[in-house]
Amino acid sequence: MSFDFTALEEEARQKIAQAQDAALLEALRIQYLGRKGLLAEITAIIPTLPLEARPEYGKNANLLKNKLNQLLEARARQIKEDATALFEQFDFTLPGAIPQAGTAHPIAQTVKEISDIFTKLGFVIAEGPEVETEFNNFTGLNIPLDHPARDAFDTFYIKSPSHQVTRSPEKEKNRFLLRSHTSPVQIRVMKKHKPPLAVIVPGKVYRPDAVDASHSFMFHQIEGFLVDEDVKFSDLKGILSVLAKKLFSRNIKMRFRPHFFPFTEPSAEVDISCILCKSHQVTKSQGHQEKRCSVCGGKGWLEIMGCGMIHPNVFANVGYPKGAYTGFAFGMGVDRIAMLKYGINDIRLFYENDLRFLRQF
Amino acid sequence: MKVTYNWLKDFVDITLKPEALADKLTMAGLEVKAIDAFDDDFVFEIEITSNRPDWLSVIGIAREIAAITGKKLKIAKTRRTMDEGRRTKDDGRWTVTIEDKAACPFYSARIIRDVKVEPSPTWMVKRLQAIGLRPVNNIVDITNYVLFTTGQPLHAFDVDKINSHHVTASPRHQRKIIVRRARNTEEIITIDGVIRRLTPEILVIADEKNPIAIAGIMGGEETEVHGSTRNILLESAYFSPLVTRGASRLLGISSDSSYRFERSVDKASVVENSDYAAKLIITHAGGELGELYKAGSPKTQKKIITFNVSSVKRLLGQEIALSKVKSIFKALEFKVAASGKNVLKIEVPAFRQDVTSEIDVIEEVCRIAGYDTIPLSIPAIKLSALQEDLLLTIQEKIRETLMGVGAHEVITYSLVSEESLRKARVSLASVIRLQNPLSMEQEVLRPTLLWGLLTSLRCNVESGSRKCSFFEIGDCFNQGVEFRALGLIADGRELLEVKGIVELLLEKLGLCGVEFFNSMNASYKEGQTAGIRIGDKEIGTIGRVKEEILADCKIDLANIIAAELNLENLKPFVNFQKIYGGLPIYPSVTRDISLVINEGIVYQKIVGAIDALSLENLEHIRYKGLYRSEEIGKGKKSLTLSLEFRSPERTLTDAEVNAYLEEIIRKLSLELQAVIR
Repeated sequence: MSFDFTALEEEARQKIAQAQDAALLEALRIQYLGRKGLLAEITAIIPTLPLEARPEYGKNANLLKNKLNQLLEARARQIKEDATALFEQFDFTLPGAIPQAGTAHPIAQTVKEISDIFTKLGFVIAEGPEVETEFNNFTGLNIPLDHPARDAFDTFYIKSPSHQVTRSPEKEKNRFLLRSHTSPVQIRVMKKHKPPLAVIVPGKVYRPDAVDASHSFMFHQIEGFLVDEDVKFSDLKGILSVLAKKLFSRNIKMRFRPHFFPFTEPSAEVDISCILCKSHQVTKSQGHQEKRCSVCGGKGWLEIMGCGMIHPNVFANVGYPKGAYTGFAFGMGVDRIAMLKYGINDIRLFYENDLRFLRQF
Repeated sequence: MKVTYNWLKDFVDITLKPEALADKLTMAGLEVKAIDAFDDDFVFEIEITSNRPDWLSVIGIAREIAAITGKKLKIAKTRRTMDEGRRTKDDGRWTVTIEDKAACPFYSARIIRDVKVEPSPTWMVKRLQAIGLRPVNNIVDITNYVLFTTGQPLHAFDVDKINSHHVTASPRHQRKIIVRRARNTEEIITIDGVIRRLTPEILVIADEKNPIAIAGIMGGEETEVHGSTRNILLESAYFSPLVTRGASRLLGISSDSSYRFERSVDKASVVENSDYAAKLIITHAGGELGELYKAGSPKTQKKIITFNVSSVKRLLGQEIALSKVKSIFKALEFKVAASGKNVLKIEVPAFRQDVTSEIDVIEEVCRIAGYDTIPLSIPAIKLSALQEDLLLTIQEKIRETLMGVGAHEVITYSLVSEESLRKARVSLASVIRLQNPLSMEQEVLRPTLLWGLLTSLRCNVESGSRKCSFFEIGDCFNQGVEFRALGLIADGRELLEVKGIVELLLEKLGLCGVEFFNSMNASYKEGQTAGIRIGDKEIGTIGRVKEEILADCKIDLANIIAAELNLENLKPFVNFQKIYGGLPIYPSVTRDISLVINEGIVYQKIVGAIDALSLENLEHIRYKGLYRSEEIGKGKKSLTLSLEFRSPERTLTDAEVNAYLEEIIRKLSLELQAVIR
């Protein structure tokens, strides 16, 4: 008896390829490789063969066995894959359906971020009216009515003097105006309350500036003040450095430059190291100007707020006894800080309210 | 204020490079905005704060540099070289009279004869050009040069043009300079060629008849120095800051001169600075020094401030050694005398009018020692007496809720135009206006948030964003009152949806007894708007925005719903307190009923009638839908309600619920002619 190995292989190949499921395939496996299968038959006749033909025959039988094993395995894998392909698989590369969530205005977000830093330190939020008295906006803050210091605070005045515009009407015989800073709230709070006071005041302010990319007749400020029996300039520096580190970054550098504000003395302007270029070269020099940083103009510093120790005259104006208290106050432009923080180059964007803008925050 | 590096070097030795000097100045309160190379010199642009008029001069800045770098000032060497012997006495040919001593406490006039008016020397021309001035001739240039060097504005008159229409044959005729208030009908042509009408608020220098200069602001054209001028009268004076400021504002003129008088010049140095100018004139324009006429007094009151050095530590949190304090004041030309332990008597120089009290003295110590020497500390913050306004919590709650329903917060301008309010059909009757608006676009304080919301909507429609809701929280102004308001505007939401948002908001604020009542509002469509109130207090409005408003605003949309709430009015009713009410134990039974009712019967009426039954186990009445059709008939509508019954004690039976339903239906058909479908 002899076998045609080539024909056998071809026949098995066809049968295996036609097996549609795992059970049929198993039947084929038993038929070919089982204990009583084809290969068993093939090897059973070896002892009957002439001695010299045996090695060649044995080798061919072995090759056939390996080949069959291969074919069965490959088909088994195929059947399995075909089976799973019938299940519905979720395509996670599809974009998710994002819910229509609302947004908070970037100015409101910045106000909240700054207020939160201070409220965590124990400050209390206070607000004041936007229509103010001349006394609260100027005189009470040690800004004489006819003084060059007033030049920095050009102001919108209210037309109808018969209309007394206040949230809580006060009997003050002076003109009404749109507050040009949030500092009048210092006067309001201190007139009503004795220290200790740790207060933060966010709000809108108005100045007659023509609108362009960096000016607006309406913008936002945050004012803060701390008044107690023993508040020091070093406390002001400490508190503001906490603010700068939390608001911008841990590595931010800060400097206090002497300045003049009528309502604080000593007064300072506060600069932080430029958040974009981080350079500290002070000036441009002739001819060979390097590319100047678009944020700080190559100065390396950004002015972010004004501050100082509350002037004794202000305490006198709210009726605090002379020498009883010391305190500090500071004020910053929220729009400017938001512009620096988010890299916004045009203040008008805040008031146009284009969703393509609002959605970026 | 512009100064040059070399100009400063005339008065103080500077070893620092321009950049390093700029940094030092900046950190002492003279902020250097820019340094620009000019020829072989550097121009510093310095921002001078309004409290330091003494810094509006090269000498003033040099004095500061001397103090911060520890170098000596060289003022005497450079400036005070006037030959005292040649200061001729008043020979009586002129009289100087001051009519208003408050407006001009001191006036000096010096005659210089036979000058030769010609171009200035190159070095002076270069310096003036460096700081942006246009050279004119040696006399005018010298007055400018001395102004910038010393801070004292000067004016040179052509003597022969003064009183020109009065000059008599006699050389002994007495001539007059009068410092007086202008008269109402007077006019002067100033050197810029403009005719200026004068008023008594304005101080002038006049001859016997006419004004020849506006005091401290600008000279007159008639007496101006020009090429053929031979004899000059050099004015150096002190004019009151208030009067100068008032006149400068009235006339709309701000000059280098008025800028300094407004901030106050150094009265004590008026003559000295005139001497300096005279010396420069004689050196560069020749001529002969004539008489010096004076009126008034240059005396200033001696100011001595008692300074307890320990107050530095109290205010700064850092001690500064007594010796250091003393050296700072010496460098700034203050006189210091000890007066007990740690107490100093500080005599303030006349040019430092900003220093009047101890706090000013502390500031000087702190400024020169350097703010960077003050350490950082964190104060103990005590609980403030002030309590936070509930409005802040209300706003946070609103913001949170509205963002949750997908609305976007906007901030719009509080100043609007009358026209925009007219477009929005908002009454202008009691609006508040600005006295000095920048433009008509911003002349009214907004009485409502509606206009701003419409502009936000328009901006987004134009940029292709549809079906969006916006809200704003901000102050509005009307009838003499400023109040905090909330405005909401929605595109692509039905009236009931927006009402639902408002109801959700009011619920979050813990408001009870809120009522929506049909009303009229010029901005909203008739029959589609309601007021919102709690008891008698009106807290808001809701409605469909009139289509003609949308058309006028060029908003290409229909069906815009808006709502406004007055947060101040609802504040007293807000209640954030929450108490857990338990969870039901027994299941509820829900039954829907559909009623056909007359068109005029509102939902609230039905609910009210059911409520009046006070059924103890009726838990909820819910609205399911409203339906109109021909089948139901004209003037009728079908209302479907869902009624949920639950007992806290047991599971209700069908029979019990049916009994409740029957009772309800009986009442509704009896009282409201409702028919069950």
